[in-house]
Amino acid sequence: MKGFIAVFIIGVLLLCSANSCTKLNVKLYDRVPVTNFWRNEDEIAAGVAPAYASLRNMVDLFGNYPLLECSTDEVILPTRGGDWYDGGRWEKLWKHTWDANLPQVQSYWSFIYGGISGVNAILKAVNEINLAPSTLASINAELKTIRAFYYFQALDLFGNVPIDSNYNSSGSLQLSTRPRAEVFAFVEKELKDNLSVLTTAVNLKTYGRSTQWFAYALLAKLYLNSQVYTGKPRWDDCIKACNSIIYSNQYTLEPNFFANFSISNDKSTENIFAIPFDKVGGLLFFSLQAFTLHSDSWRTFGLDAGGFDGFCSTKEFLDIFDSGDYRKKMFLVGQQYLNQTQYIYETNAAGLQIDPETNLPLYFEPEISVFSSPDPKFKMAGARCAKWEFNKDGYGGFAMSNDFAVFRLADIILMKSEAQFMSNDINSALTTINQKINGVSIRTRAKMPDFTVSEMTADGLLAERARELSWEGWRRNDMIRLGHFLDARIPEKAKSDEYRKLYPIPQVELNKNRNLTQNPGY
Amino acid sequence: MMQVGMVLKQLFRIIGLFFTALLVMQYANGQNKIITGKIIDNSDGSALAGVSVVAKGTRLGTQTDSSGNFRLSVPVNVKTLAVSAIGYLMQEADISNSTELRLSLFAVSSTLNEVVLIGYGTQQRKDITGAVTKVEHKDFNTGVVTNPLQQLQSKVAGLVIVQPGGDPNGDLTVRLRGATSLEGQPPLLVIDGVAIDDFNKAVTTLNPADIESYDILKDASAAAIYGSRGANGVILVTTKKGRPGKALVDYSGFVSAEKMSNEIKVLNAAQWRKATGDSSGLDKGANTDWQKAISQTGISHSHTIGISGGTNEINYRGSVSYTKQGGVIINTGKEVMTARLNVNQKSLQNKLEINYRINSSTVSRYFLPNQSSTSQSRNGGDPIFGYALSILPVLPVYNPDGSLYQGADLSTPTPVSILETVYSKKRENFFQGSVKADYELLRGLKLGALGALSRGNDVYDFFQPSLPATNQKSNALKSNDNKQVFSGDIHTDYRKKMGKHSIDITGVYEYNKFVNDGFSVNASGYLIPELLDNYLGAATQVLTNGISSYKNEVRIISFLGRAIYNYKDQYILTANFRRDGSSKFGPNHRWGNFPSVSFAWVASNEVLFQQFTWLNNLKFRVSYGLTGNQENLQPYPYQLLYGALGPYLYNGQFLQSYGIVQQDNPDLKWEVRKSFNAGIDFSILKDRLSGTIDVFYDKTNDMLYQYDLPQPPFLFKTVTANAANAVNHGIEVSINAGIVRNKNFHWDASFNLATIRNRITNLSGQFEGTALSLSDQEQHYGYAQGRGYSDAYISQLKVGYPAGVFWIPQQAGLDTGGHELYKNYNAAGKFIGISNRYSDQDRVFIDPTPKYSWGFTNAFMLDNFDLSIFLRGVQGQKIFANSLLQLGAAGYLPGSNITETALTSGFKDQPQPSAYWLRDGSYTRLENLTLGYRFKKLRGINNLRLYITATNLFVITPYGGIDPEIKTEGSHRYIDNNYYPKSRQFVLGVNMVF
Repeated sequence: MKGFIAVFIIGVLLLCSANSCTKLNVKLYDRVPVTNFWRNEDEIAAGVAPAYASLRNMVDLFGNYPLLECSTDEVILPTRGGDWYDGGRWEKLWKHTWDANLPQVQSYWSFIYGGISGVNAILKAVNEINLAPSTLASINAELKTIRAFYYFQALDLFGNVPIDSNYNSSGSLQLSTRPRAEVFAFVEKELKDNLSVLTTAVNLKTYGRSTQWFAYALLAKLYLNSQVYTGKPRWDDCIKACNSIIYSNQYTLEPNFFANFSISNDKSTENIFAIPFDKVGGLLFFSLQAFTLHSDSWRTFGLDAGGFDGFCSTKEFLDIFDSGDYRKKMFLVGQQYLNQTQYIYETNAAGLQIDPETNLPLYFEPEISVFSSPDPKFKMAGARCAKWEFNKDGYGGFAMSNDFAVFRLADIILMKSEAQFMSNDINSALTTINQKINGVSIRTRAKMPDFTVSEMTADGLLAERARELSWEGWRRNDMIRLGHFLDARIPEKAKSDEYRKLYPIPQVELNKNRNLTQNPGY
Repeated sequence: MMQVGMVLKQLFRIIGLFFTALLVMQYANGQNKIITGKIIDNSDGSALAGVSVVAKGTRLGTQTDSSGNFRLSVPVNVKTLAVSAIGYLMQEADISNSTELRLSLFAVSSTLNEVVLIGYGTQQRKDITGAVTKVEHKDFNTGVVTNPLQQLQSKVAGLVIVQPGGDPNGDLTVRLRGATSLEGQPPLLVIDGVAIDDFNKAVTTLNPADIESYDILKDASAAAIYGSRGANGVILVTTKKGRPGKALVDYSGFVSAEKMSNEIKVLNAAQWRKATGDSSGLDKGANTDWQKAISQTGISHSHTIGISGGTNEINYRGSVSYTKQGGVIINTGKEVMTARLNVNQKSLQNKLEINYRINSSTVSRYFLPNQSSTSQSRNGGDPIFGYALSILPVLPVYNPDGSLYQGADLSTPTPVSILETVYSKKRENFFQGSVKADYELLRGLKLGALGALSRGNDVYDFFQPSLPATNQKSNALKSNDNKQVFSGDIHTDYRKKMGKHSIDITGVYEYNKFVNDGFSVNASGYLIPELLDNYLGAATQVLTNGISSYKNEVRIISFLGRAIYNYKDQYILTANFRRDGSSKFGPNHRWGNFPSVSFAWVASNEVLFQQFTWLNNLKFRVSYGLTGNQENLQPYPYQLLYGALGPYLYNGQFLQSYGIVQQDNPDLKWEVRKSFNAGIDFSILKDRLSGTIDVFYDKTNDMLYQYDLPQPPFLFKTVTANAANAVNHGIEVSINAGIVRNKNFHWDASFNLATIRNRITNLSGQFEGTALSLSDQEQHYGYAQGRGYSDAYISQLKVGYPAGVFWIPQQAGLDTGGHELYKNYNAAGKFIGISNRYSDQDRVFIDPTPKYSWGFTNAFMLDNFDLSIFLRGVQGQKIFANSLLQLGAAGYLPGSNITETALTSGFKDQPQPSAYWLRDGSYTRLENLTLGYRFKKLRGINNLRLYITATNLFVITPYGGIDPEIKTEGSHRYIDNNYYPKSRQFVLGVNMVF
């Protein structure tokens, strides 16, 4: 009995001494508290990085990108039999019948405000570091600039949105919607205030990050759309911002148009701001080839996986391109053949492709007369996008290593030309659009004659922007500004109401925050 | 006091001897014969000690010893011996022509005196104040039982065990009195006094043949002893122990064959050709039933050998087992090996009792190609089954040369080819050891301690060969997950009886520490497929996110006390108090208090009721208590933490970014379930008819869940917080009847029925001054699955309705063009007509939860034969037939196969998820039919029973899908999609004791 009691007491002591009887503090292993971070230059760099890394979601082709493209004439995702109905999300976008429950509306809002809160959190943490880093001023400037880019997207898509510039882990603040003009002013001020502190260097270290040139490009976009956003045109400010970039001589037009979309397009001399993607490096989410290609298209180009047979363009959109326009090679149309080379479509009668699912010729018919059809042929409807170089060695065929350029020099040139045209300075507008940089102009590399006076109209500029920038995420912005967003379209889209120029604030956010006001019309 | 007792004892002994001597003398004159014999338990052949053997018509009698043997001298004229024992049916044996008697006793269903585990102690059934159900091994389901809980399926009212599909590697969904949290969790499993944190894991480490009994603690007062961990109820498992006596060897085993019990009727090759006009070149001339092609006759066998024995001081039971289960789908199944040793030692005049337990198991799982865990099948099936339904019946399985057909162009593997070539296997190793010591310090006062250590290690191996035709690289993955749990407790118990009063006080300190860690590597581009994932270094492509690891730790500390007061066995009061702390909560909210109280009135012990001789027991119980829950929380949810967030590009290099990884919630606290229970236990007509009725009403408050946060200002869309409330209430009835009890024929029946209603009463709350909601999931909870159904939300979390209530448009037939029509309503909910469109306004709520579920067992015994028939069922359940929906339009032809009904149903477009696809999922299943035969008097064998079992012989259901038993928890609840098919089994088994 004594022995047992001794053992028992020892047991109790062991139990209690090793881990005091009521102590519940457990160790952290695969995470650290904030006190174990922000301690040196490398950690600060890694802590700032999420502000950029989260931008990759902008090209989430299911959730976000469709708001930029699928409500325009550029990208359509028709319902192909049983595929792609998806609760009507694609149909609602195409026909402009969406409501505040559209999943993409919700997704884009979360992307924007998750990004903004992320930047706010980083700003707060960086400015609370005990020993302020020597680069604090430039870190603050680059973070506020990238935050301005998120706000620009909110301004463009939703218009009247809340402004939150402090990281406040306590959400007692129920933010209310601000008028669009106020959001405009906020973005403008943030960009202008921080511009001078930003780096002007264009090199590997500043690739994909906030630079002065990125800030100017964003300002240019802001001013170009000022009439839409605020009712007041700012053409001169736009031209000035464009000039700052063009005359910096940091960027030149790539002689080969498609070099801007190659797998190694990070080397493009035209990129002002790009979101880097790399499947081996784990920078994932850009998967356009999977979203546009047919399930059997892998055979056309020797890829390692088929596509989902989704996004495509209609005949009406393709007709914007002159048949000789080199840029038109971004589309896959007609009969497909085995073992083709991208951008060079030799016919290879022996390799005529058959869709194994329907046993029909694999023939991309751009003419789409209905939005939905169970006809097996309809699986091949629509021209497919081959603008970005296909990755033959994808990660299950989904991830692409092509970077996604948000701003490239060609866009700046077109913006400047448009601003000049809008200021009734037709000659300057023509000079700008036909301007050669290092012997290359937008038109020469497209193997097209110079832009003419007769083409220099709002519609002509919109068409040129379509040819140059299609599928790059600007079509909605362009169509609204130049007045064709609401038009009736083939197939099945009727003229839509004015209020469709803004997306609704997601219903779930309205439910969560009563201070938000829904955009008119919804 | 002690001395007086000793003197009295001596006195009784002397008196006893005196009377015995008198009796012996009385018969000494006549001729005597010596009867020897052995009494065993009919169900498992184990020796029964302490059985009373009396020569009928005399007062001569004895008791069996620890080996079940007895020796009795009786006059020659005695023809009959009466053999009786508590808990067994009394039997009479004819000894007119023999001097040796071997008799097996049948346990009776009267359970008033059975010992019931209540957690840190035991009580006799008659004294129980809470809702507790015991199931002993004689009542277990048999068949291919590879998951012990199959033994309990539909045996306990209120314990819902659902096996969605027939996957041998699929977890059972086990819920006691419905889910508490919105997602629901299984009850706490306590094996021989050691609480196991991972329910499904613990269940697979148990060999079903080692289990002696289950005690199910249903209401809060019963579960409160496990406080923080008892909110979902508690299942106590007792494993078999050795008994004093010579060593016994027992063997139990079975072989079985099982086949898919049902198929979905899709077009066969001839129907396909007829429907498509046979002109397309898709036809490869074959005639394949793909559902058959991917299936096989699953052969299973299982063997358990146990050795048990001991003395009064020390007893032991050791067992080893091997079970192999072949699934009904090719290349699936599992192998389980277990070893268990239980040793119990008593010393120091029985004052010290020490229990040692060692348990080790290895489970090898052969998974479906897309499966990597046992929980996966609960989340809506496996795509391979959808593929087997939609692939064309005119494609062959094999090429003429015998190789696997991979599509006309070698790029589209068939389901058979995928099952044959993808390697997906998991090995789960588990070890647990525990020591428990109790010492009786003073009379009635016990002090004890327990220490247990368990380690689990899972290794997952995956290899997918390359597909040269499509440039697809081979891919390999290996992952390794470890779980280590240390639990210890110090407990004390004091029992005292003072005249009409007796008390029992228990105090416990409990400590639990959980450490989890693991890693995983995924890479591709392997040259030699035979190497599988065994040489990961040979990869030609490693992606940044292909490498991962984790480690975390959780601690739970608890103090608890329980007092039971009993007055004259008529009034019994139990009070519990438990205080729990969990490291998952912030410093201000760590500790939770969980009190409970219960009261029982044993009416049948009142003088008033003594006159009713037909009434054996009548007890009224009422209880109220609080239990807590924190199981589904991540380890560190209250802290602001930094972790890796994925790579970024800087200066041409890929570096890792870091940031805040979760929305911290320092206010996180215990989820609390308040439960009220009232029950009646009765037993009448010499215990021939007994039963229990319980009514419960549980409120769960502050439910832990991922709630939506407004953006801005929050960084994350959701936060783990306490907010929603829900109510579960129901009625549970179980009735046991000994319908016929003859010497050679018995008929016992038991029936149970339970209703469980769940209703969400609140979904909003506060977090940091902001309103929390489930705004998103309120609308978008469950979705229809499949191509083109991305936003096809069909169920909701909605206040006033059960979780997961369907919210769905009503189809109103097709128009002349074959397009669907829907009923349309205006904003006020008024019917305004039908059209081709529907909006959210047109959706209606439809509750899919069953009205009730039931189980009905009939057991017959005729001489050496026994027969049991077990039926169970569910009434009023609704199922969304997703599998049929995906095959539901003729327009999918010719590229994809469809159901036979789709040929005539007229759908032109892709069918939309509407109430059209909501089907009545009520069913009655003949779960188990067992016929056994017990051999007696076999030389060298104490007991031998052979049995044959057929399971799932038939299902009566109006449901047109493959089987109506599907997942009833989580966002996939009541959505039937691609479940592993159910099987019908035929089993030949044997139990023997040497």
